[in-house]
Amino acid sequence: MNDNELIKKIAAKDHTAFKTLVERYQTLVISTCYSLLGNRQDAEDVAQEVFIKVYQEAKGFRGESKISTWLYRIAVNLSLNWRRKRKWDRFLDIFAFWKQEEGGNAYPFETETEDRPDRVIESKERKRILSLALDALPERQRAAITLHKYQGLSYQEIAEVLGTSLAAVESLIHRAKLNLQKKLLPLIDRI
Amino acid sequence: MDCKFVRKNLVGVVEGQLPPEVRKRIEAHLQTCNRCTDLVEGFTQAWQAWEEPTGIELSPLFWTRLEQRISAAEGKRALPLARDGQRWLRPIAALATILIGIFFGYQLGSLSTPRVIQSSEQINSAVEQFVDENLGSLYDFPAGSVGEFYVSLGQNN
Ligand SMILES: [Zn+2]
Repeated sequence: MNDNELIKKIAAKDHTAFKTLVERYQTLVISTCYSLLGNRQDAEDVAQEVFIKVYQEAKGFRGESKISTWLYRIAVNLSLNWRRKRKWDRFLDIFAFWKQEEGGNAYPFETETEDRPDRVIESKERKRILSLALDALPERQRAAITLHKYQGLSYQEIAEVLGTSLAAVESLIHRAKLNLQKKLLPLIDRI
Repeated sequence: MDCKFVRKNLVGVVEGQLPPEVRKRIEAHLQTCNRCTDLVEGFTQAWQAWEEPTGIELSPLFWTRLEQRISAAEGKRALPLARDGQRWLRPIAALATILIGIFFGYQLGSLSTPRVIQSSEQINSAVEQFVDENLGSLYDFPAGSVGEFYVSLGQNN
């Protein structure tokens, strides 16, 4: 069954078709959310919201763009909203008497330095450093560069996802790279 | 001077997108500067993180949870994310704790109302009453204990 047929069935509240769509695209959605949020649990929560939105809005999907583009768009928008909301949650965390350990934080801070011969940065540390630098980027720059680098989207596809022009995407990614360079320098200097 | 030039072109260096003359200038500098060589090496490694899989594994309950929420929403009852519920409970719990604290503090404060004593006789009788009520057990030492010895000393005097 192709994507458009699936969407038609989902619009008619067919759970089996919905499950097929989820299985087909869950990796795409979760990895997009994860690259923007940097936290596994948050990524999964937002991915749930993405699919719920898809289920609820399937009727309105006109098939003008690819389903993947539509999914990327929803995933990016909801992830960015989630990040804004998280700022408010951090305030509420002051009251976190029973705050649970944030399970699955993607980039645990590691200070071990002894097993680092010849300044080889371990994979986990590389991800942590890049994540810290990414975290400091303005949200549209972050979205553009993660879609390009992690998801392998072309500039044209990113323009469709972000609802902007090709030139704007080129500019976003150029500025994102310059900013990342600036943010990464002190982090690397410290190693 | 060229250290600054290298630092400005790190992304270009690692992505191999520099014009030949810039690349040559940087390579020449790297031959002579260990600090920049280390920096380029560190930056190259950090940039590699883009290529590495995130390794994120989906929870086996992802679909089950999603279907439950869809079904609940269809029944006009949207299930909130559990973690959201907890977040909103926090300030309420904090306020409740403060109010409970104030309540118990007030109760403790009103447990014993201080008596106003105006003469030495009243002081003596108040002390006796207090000792009778509260300290009688101090004299209940086991036979032969050090406590009993001291009590007997006091009685002898
Ligand atoms: Zn140098």
